[in-house]
Amino acid sequence: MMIKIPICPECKKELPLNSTRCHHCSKSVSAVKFRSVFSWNWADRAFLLFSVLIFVSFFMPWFPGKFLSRENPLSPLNLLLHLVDLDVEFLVSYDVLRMVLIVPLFSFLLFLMVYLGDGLKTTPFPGIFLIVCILVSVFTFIFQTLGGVFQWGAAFLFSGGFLYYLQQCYKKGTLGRISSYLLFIFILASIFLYLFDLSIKFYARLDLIILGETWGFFMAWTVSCLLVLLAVLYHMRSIEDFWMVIFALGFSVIAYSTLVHPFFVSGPLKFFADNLHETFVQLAAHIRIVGIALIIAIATGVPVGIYITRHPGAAGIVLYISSILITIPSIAMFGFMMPILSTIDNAWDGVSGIGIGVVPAVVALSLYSLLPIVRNTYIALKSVDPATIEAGKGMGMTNFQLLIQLQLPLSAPIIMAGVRTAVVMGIAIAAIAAYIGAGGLGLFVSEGLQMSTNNSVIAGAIAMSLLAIVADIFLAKAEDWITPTGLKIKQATE
Amino acid sequence: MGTMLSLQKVTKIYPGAGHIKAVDELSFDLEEGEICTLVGPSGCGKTTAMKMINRLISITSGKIIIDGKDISRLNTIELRRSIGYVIQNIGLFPNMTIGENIAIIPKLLKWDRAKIDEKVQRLLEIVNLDPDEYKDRYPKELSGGQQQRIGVARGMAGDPPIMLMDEPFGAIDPINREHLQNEFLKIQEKVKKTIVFVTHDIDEAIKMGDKICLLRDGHLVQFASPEEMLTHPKNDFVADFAGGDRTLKRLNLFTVKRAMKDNPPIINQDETIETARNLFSEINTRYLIAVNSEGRLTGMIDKQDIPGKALLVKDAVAPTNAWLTSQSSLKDGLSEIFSHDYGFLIVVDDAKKVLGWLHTEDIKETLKG
Ligand SMILES: Nc1ncnc2c1ncn2[C@@H]1O[C@H](COP(=O)(O)OP(=O)(O)OP(=O)(O)O)[C@@H](O)[C@H]1O
Ligand SMILES: [Mg+2]
Repeated sequence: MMIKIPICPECKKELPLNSTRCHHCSKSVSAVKFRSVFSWNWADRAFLLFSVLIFVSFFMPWFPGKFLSRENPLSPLNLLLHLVDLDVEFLVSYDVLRMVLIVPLFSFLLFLMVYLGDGLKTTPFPGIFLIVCILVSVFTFIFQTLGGVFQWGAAFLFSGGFLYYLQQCYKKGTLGRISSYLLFIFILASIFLYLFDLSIKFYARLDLIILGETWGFFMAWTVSCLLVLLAVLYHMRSIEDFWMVIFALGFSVIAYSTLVHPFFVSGPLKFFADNLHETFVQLAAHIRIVGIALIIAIATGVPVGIYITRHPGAAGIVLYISSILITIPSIAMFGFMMPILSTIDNAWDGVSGIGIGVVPAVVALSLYSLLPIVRNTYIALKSVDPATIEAGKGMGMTNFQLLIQLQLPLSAPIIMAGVRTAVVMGIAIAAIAAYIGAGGLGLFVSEGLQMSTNNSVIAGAIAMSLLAIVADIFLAKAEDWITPTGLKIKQATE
Repeated sequence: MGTMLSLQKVTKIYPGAGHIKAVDELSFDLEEGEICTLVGPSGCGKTTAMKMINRLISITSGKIIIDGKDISRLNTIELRRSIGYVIQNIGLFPNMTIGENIAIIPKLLKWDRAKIDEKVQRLLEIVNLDPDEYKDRYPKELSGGQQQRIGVARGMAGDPPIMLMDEPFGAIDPINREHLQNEFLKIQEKVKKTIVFVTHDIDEAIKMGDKICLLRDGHLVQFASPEEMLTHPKNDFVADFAGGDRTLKRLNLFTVKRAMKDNPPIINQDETIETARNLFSEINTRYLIAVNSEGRLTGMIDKQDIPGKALLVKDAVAPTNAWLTSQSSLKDGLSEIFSHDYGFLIVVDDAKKVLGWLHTEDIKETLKG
């Protein structure tokens, strides 16, 4: 079943038998190395398919005797509890069981693979995976025992590892690409089914639900597994490929239990699904507050930055004031805003009620955003090479022409970086603005805290982080776009 | 031609720094179309003196007059646009392409598109950079020397009557520098700009300058033509700065044409050997210069090396490379004489017509004046 195929010692690619020159890297080959490869016949494939299915069905509800169920006196958990005579409530959860059982199992397989698998040392990712899996199993155990919040940490850790795995698979050529596509489809399918079909039930609570209710999920899961398996078996050539199948299946289980369920079935995404309309309304409110504040901050911050570059005396004072502004706690800042604005309001017409709500929020946020924008403008303008400015002046450019043609284009990327900081900070601070009635995603957090609905708090937090990440990515693109081409070029080596 | 640029007791004291006079009562006049090289050791105030002319640095006391107008009464921006400026550290705009950099002043002066494009094209050719290849590159994609050449091109772009150049060829390798200097002098022949040219290299100062202004610690030490500065250094400092080999340096100031004698021993290559033998004994020389019927150099005949069966001069001529064109400097002439055994050098014009010959004695005569 195992055969050895010759590989080029340089580029590690396969060689035809008895070749003296590698046709990939066209180096002459003196000492040919070998890689162990499975030589599959259909019996082997059937065997593998069968064993994997057995493995998978450990986690399936219809597995004979409900292997992991507490009602089964022979289940490992009950045996364990008997042995150590412990009644540990947290172990009741099916999730925990899976974490405790699956992860070490996978770690062990990985360990075998890395240390016993011969040709595998050439690729880094099994090693990385070993580490990730060990870490994950340790952390998951700790987090599970510590409770809810930490479970989120584990979930994030897993989603990171999962994405990394997908990416690595993708790089591995056709096979990897196919399996990563399938995995992705699988995850999407699970999400879809859970959000829109099964909504509340989770198959871990097997004892409580009727199988018929979850058939959609299981079908999707099984079909995806089979697809992955078939695709992989068909293309599989080496040991690495084999382990990739195992990863794919194992990870789909881990990903499901750590990612899909807590996120989508009982967690904040369910909250989003239930409150879709409200989410968009508050998202829009949030963006509006930050956006208006940003426009105000840019419109004042950039000119102020330009001014203080030309008047060094003012620079110290302005930068000092804006750094003091930024140290005021946001809740206090909103507190200051209200009486000040109310006074203005009263003196003005007394009916528009600008003392509370969006106006103080916007004013406070633009004050916060001033520092990064003013400071970056100042630093950027200062750091323009004095020689270029002198050349421009000497050629008879007016201050304004110098500013428009030279200083601002050269400073744009740094100013934009300041804007990015301001936006990300603004999105975070705007959360507090919900307390003074400005609305926004912070509302979910504040209401959630008042009513102790964790999902609401977490949903608000996630929405704001996503908003911040998306805004940052978008602004990074803008930064790249605004940077003059001449600055992006790497300096020629002289 | 009147006085174009006149500095009158110009003084600069930088605030702070112990009130040292960076430039101390500097006065000189520059005719229209002259190049004045400002030389002196580092920190002697060359850059300062130059920047006061386009008012990048304010004058502490004294006056600068350009074309009869006191610059302190002119609009700064217009003054600067009428003065080409090449700075010591290049200062190209990194956000603009090479073409855009050169076009800055023409654009400020609101020239039309076609004229600007043509100007950019021509200037790039002048500074020896292929326009098609370099026009759309960015400064960071050029080497230091190439950037400096662009700096020079940019300074010339607006066709200013006056140019200020601060060590414009400082970062360029000797071969390209020589080329640029020669190109620059050639253009200057045609455009006759008034140029203040800062350098710390006395050879460059001698080569480029119609006048040399030698500064030391802000004082004017000597303001004179290169010839005068080399023959009559005002004091030991000037003599030192010009160097022990200043007599040799003077060789650069003269052309071969100026020193040569115009009675070379010529023989037409179609004459018979007999005529040649007669000529040898008549003027008592070992070598004759052979020319064709148009008077162009074909080679040399050595009296002691005439093949026996030769009938015509043509048969005895050996090709030679002991010749130089008449515009070459005496320095090259001298070097050429020493690199051949003839003891003299043939001077030809661009068409290789023989104009005269040059001996070391002629050079000595010329240097004596
Ligand atoms: N902005 C300034 N403030 C104070 N002193 C200055 C300033 N610029 C120049 N100096 C001083 O003035 C003197 C003349 O400087 P300048 O730049 O004119 O020298 P330079 O002849 O151009 O020298 P280099 O050949 O090194 O360029 C120096 O002693 C220098 O230290
Ligand atoms: Mg200088």
